[in-house]
Amino acid sequence: MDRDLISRLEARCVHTGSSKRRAGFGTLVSSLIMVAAVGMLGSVVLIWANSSLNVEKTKISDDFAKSSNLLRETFIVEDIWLSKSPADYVNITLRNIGDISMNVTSVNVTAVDNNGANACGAPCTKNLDLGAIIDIKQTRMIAVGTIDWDHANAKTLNITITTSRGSVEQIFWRVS
Amino acid sequence: MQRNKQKKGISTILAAVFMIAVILVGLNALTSGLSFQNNLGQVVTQRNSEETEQSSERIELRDVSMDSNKFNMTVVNTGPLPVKLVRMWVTNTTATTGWHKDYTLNDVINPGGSLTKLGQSLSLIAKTDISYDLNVVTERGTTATFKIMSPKDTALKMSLYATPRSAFPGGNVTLIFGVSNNRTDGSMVHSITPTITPSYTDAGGSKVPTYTLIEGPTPTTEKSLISTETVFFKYVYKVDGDPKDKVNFLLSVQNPKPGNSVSESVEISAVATQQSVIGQITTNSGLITMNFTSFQFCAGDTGSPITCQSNSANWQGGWNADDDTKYYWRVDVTNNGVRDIFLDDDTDLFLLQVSDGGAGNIATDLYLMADATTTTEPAAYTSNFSKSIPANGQWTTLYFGGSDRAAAATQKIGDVGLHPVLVMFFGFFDENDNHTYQSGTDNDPYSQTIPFQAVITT
Repeated sequence: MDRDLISRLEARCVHTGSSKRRAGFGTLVSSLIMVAAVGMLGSVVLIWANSSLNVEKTKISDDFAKSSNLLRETFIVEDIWLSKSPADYVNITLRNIGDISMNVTSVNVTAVDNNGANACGAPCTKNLDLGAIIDIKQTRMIAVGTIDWDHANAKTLNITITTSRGSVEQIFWRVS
Repeated sequence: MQRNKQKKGISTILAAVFMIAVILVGLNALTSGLSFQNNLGQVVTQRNSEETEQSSERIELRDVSMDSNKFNMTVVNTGPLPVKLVRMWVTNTTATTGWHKDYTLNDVINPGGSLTKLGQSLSLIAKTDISYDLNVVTERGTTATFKIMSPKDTALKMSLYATPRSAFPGGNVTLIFGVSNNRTDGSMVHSITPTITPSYTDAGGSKVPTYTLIEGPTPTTEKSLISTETVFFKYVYKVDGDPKDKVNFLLSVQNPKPGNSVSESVEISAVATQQSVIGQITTNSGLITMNFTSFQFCAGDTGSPITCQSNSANWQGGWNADDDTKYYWRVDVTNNGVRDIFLDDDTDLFLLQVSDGGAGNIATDLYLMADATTTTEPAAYTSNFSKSIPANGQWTTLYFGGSDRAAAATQKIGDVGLHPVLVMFFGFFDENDNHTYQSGTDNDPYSQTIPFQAVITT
């Protein structure tokens, strides 16, 4: 009996050990696959998120830089010379008083009457498209050209100056 | 059991790694956002600071002159920050076609400080007959505009006073010529130099009217006038001619606006040089006039503890005096003649009591005394004819009070009541015009009586 019992137990023991070894390997493989998948997916998500963040950061940085530069861009109309020789000639001198260079892209000048309307049509207006760079603390004279500023109806020059960063300066200059 | 624990460990580590990564990404985003905001905040703050500084800049033009054909300006920084002048735009506003030029500056003015001689080193040639607009630009972008006008381009307010307006032949006439900057736009007017054009109107007679400059103009010129400022120029002319002749003075400034001038005429009047004329004048009017408001008296006598020196505060005005007090008296008189008058010691204040309801009719002579000074009281007039009233409208102070001629003692009026007064002048003309009495030579007598305001004694 003892022998018989021992041999049966041995046989069961042998059978049972083989099954356990098979079950442990599968679990390990599946776990590895899951870890790898999660790791890969997580990494992809993380890289994507980081990348997206960097892109957004760059955009935000650009926006902030533009806003900052727009704020730092400051200029004044230092002088306006209404010349009679040559007749009806207008020169505008701008001074960059900011701490950043600027680019004047357009200057619009219109001689207006008391109601703010164009005083004499085409001869009373001039639109210039420029690319006039003005360095820090420097001035630049812009020759606007001939405008009939001493027309009988002309009372004021309506001057609009625009820079590449979007600064718009509008001033009125009395002519009579 | 052991395998389960291992699996849980890997998951935790994995979750922790991802969690850390997510936190890092979040922190990165947060840091970036804060950084951007901080940078923008700094820019906004800096911009605000610059605008505040710019708005607090104050510069003013205090003085302008033209030296060696160049501007010599004084610019004052009245703001709290140092300012740096970087540019000056000059416009010639007199020229019909205009003239416009800019000059680079590099001058720093401390708060409360001033910059002098601005313009002396510039190539700009300034002219006295031209008006200019000057725009001075600072480094922060402030523009200060100064208008400097020539008399040629603005009608200045002018006034002229001649005194006396009726002068004796050979007498002096003083002209006071006032020039005001009456512009209300803050413009400064430069180069005010007076000019005078005398002329005459001959009313007939033996003499042709003449005028001779004795003094002036004082000052000779005024560099500039700020808004509402006035300058006075003084001239003294000696005029001569026959009675009714006129000397006309036309005054203006150099480079004036056409028609901008002012004139005044002085008429030659008769002068008392003949005895008969003097007699007539002394009867009807006289050469001496008296400034009633200068009448004063001071309680004093020889050895009195109260001082009556010329600058003493014990001299009092008004007409009410004490009948029982001894006084010194004084009054300012003017000789409108052309010769000095040397005073005799008969000269006195003659008081006549009118009434006090009873006694009355008491006369009191208060005789001429020697001048008080800042160190001495009136004294006895012992040196006869030593006191003179200078000619040509000059004035002097006469002191009275002596109880007798050449007496040092004063006297009381002695009775209560109203006392009309006569100021009685006796003396001789300075015939030699040497301002020194010469007995035997200066023997042309003069006398005059001036009725005086009453003195009331109580």
